[in-house]
Amino acid sequence: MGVLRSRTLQLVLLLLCLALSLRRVEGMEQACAVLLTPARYVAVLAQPFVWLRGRAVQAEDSATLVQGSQRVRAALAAAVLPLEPELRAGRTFVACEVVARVERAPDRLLVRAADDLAVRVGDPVVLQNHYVGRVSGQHGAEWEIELVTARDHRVGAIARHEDEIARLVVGGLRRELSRERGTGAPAVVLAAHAPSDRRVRAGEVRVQETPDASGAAGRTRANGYKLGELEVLVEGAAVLHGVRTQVDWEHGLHHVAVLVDAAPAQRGMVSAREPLDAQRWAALMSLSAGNVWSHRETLKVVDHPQRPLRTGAAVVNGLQLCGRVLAQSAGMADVALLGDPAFEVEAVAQLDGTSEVAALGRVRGLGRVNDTDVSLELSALGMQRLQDLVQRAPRAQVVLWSAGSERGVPAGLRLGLLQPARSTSDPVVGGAARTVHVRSSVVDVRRLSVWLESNEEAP
Amino acid sequence: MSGARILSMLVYMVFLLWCAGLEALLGDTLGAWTPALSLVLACAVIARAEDEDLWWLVPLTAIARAPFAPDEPSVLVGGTFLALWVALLVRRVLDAAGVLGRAATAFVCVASALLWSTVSGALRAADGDGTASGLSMGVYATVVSAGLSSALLAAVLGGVLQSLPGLAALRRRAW
Repeated sequence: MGVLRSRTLQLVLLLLCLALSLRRVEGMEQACAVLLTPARYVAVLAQPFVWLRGRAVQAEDSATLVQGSQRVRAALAAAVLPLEPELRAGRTFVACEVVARVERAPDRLLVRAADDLAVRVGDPVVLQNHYVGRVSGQHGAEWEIELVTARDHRVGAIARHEDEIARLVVGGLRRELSRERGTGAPAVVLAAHAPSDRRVRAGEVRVQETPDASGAAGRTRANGYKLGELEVLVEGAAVLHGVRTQVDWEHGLHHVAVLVDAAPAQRGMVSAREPLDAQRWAALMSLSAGNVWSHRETLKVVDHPQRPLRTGAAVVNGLQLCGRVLAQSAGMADVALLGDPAFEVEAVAQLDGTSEVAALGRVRGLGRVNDTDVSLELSALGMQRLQDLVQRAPRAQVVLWSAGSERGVPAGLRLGLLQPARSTSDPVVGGAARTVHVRSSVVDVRRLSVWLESNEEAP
Repeated sequence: MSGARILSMLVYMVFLLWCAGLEALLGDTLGAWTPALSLVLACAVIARAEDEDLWWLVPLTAIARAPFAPDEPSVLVGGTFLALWVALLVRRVLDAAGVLGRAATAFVCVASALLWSTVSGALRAADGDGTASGLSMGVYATVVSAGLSSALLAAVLGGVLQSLPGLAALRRRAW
């Protein structure tokens, strides 16, 4: 007992414990998770608090919500189609929803196609009038797309400026300017290689491919699609050609279209991940109705031992996005609710009742304002786009939805209704801060569901 | 260890679990001023416990708080260890039976647990393997307000918590 009473031993162990919890040490996390395993079972004794917290979701017209979700997903999928009629003519498109970026290869996207049978490796990929890349592989139910920004990507192009024409090859980033990607602004400059006429220093650059050796016309399907504006970069004695693109490579790639050869057998322009499909959702059991730290907004749910919940998976009441799975340990999982600082999601804003949407990029939870409203932070670009949308119809309501383009969260889940600015000093639209207030449904902790990707099964 | 003592430990854990559940429920209404009921109860128990009781108080308290704490397991265990160790330290200096002693113990216990959760969360976020928001003035204000409300609760209800039924076997230390 003398050893156990030793204050020095207590102090040494305390310091060791604190030092090992400052940063994530896998062994320490696992040991502590094992220690806390009984928590998963004793938590059942606290279920009365979940029942007390459980309350009916505020009267939300579910039919309106379903219509809104369908409209925003249709708008996102249709927004990939070219605006120039000549770029549509004679071509067949298959909409693809971006699911993720390939790990450690941000210039490669993983997408789910609305019709897998029509897509082939090598097919060009476009976004509105712009060429964005090529299908480069298939991984299970997902297709990999190599973006034109990838270092080794090459596409034939033609630059026209008044009467001058130059043929060139475009692909990869001009390294000197690639840091601009970090801002999220659409100011990426692609590398232009081997221009046939170096005197051409400006003009619009469009894809101009020739059929490959096999005679297959796949490569030429994207002919005429825009790459950007030619510009010349002088660096010391070197004069380098670049192509400034107008695509938002950071946050604008929620959906893309593949130019396919055959007519799609199934559904060509419908979003691939369907949030209305009940089989894609699994019911969750809440262990707690809140947490002990008032600056966080999380709750605990039961994890599934055979198939742990995916980090980042959407947690919903119906089509109302409530939060995302944050982490799992000791048979439990944390869910970061909308107002939690750890909550982040790609979002779009929609003028309610219309198909007008604006991509906001990543939004982040800043905390709860009151019972119904949460505060969200937008990027500078996202805020600009939201203000542009609001100005188009100042009296219309604006609804924020998930944009998809990340694993675990399909497009078309409602975040909430944008609250109008009350004064210029308010941290909402119209204020200086990049913060908006959003009114969302009350979370009913007894009726939560979690999103399953298609290759997962319900627990 | 006697059967009565083991039973008391289980009763302690159930009380703690309910306190944490109530705390999470009150958080909706009281916000930053929500008292850390579970830690106040732990302080009340530690006031009458011996030094070596820390070895079982820490895991039991961490297990009971785990369903309501958004921290990662090691942060929760480390924070609980720190909070109870600090409470033990304060008890040695102040009279734990008095109103001031109870309030001071509760304040430092709650403040240290909350600060630890925030600091370690911020450091992990900086490393890219955490998700907390980092340190801000709002968090420090929360530390102070949660500490003060907990201190007030301990001053008013500390005596009741120290004599909860079923915990008699844990009260080994005389005043």
